[in-house]
Amino acid sequence: MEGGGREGYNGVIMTMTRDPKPRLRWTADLHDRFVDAVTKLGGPDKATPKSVLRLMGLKGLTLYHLKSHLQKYRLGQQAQKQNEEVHKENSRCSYVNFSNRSLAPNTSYRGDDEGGEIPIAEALRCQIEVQKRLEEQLKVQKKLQMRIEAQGKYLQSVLEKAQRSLSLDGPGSLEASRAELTEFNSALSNFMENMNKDSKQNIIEVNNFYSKSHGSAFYNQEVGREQNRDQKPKVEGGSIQFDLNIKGSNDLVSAGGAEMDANMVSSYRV
Amino acid sequence: MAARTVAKDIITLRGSAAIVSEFFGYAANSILYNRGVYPEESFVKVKKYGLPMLLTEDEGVKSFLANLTAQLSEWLEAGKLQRVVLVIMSKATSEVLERWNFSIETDSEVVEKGVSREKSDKEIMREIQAIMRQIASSITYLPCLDEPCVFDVLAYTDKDVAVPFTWVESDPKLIANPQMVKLHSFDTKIHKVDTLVSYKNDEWDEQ
Repeated sequence: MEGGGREGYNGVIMTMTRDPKPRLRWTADLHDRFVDAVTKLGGPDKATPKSVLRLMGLKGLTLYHLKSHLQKYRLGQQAQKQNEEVHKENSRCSYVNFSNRSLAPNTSYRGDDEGGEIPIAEALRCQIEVQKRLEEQLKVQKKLQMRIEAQGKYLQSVLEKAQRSLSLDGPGSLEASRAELTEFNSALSNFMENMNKDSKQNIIEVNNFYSKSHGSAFYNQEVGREQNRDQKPKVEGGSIQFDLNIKGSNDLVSAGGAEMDANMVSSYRV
Repeated sequence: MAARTVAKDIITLRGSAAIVSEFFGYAANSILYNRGVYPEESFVKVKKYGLPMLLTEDEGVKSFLANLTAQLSEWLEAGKLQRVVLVIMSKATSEVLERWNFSIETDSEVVEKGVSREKSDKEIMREIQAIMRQIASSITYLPCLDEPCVFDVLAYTDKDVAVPFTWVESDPKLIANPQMVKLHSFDTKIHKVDTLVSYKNDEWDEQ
């Protein structure tokens, strides 16, 4: 190769463009100078390409370059204003949806070009914390289930005793037994109600935690329904029916949607 | 005997940059005329460097060269210009046929400290005149350009130089295994310019 080439040369080789309308690379520095000029002229709506050209006073810069850049800048400013309005309405929230059968939240971020979105690392940290909380909830609920099962066994033994005593004592002591069982049933319904409240409280805690840490709305399934507090044992022709499936008590729903079966005793025939 | 004051020809960095950039303008015009890149009738005769010089009247070329010399002058003043290359290419294939290479050495002390140097204008003019004569006589040994050609000018600058709006980064547009002829050089004592022409080997010569 000839001398005067690239060998041993580490500078810049450039050539003048022949294009009568040469393409201009708007570097950050150049754009800053443009913005300064526009600001001095009273904003993008008041500034004209000629006035910006005069104020910038850069060699090689033409009206052709400034016309298109000013137009883009105006459009950008309008879009930015609209974005700001939208963000004010949404208060720059990101939404976290907890699906019915999943413990992992699907996070979707809302953000604009200016980096308004929550940093991914922070979001992940929040997600991990929420998952930890949910795991804790599951542990608590497992314990509750074990307690319920134990309680169920105890209740079953009590009912068996009651059944035996009823069959032994005959119809004379039916009224006393009925009163006893009514009391027992109301106690049981109170117990189930408390269980439900605990479960609800746990989920509300997670919800509050997530709202605080992430500034988001946390959607979960409705946990439990209204309790039927006036549940009484039905007596039909010499048989007492105990319905321990008090409305709403059979489906304790975890935040992840895992159902807990509290169907322990359905009915006993006397 | 009356004492005669000796007029010293002091050259400043700005003055030297002006001399060198003006030289590039005239040299480019001379090359374009002598190598037949543009038709003879598009040139007008002027007197410069004690020689009849030809300048283009083509508005596009005139504007291009005016902008070129203005930018070169700026880089010369900053001591950032290392080389200027006028490249002649085939219009049809863009193959590089000739490279007119002007290497520049700048006195760094002048750029850094702002000192001036001494050299007479006449002496500088004589040196430039010799180069212009060589450019004109180059047609005797350079291969005939018998196809429509275009030209381009490359500027080799320091790496810290920002590429101006009207310029783009380029490849060196080299010629593989070229023939080279070294021409005269001139020195303003601040900028030293060496001239070299390289051209494509003629197939006839190779056989």
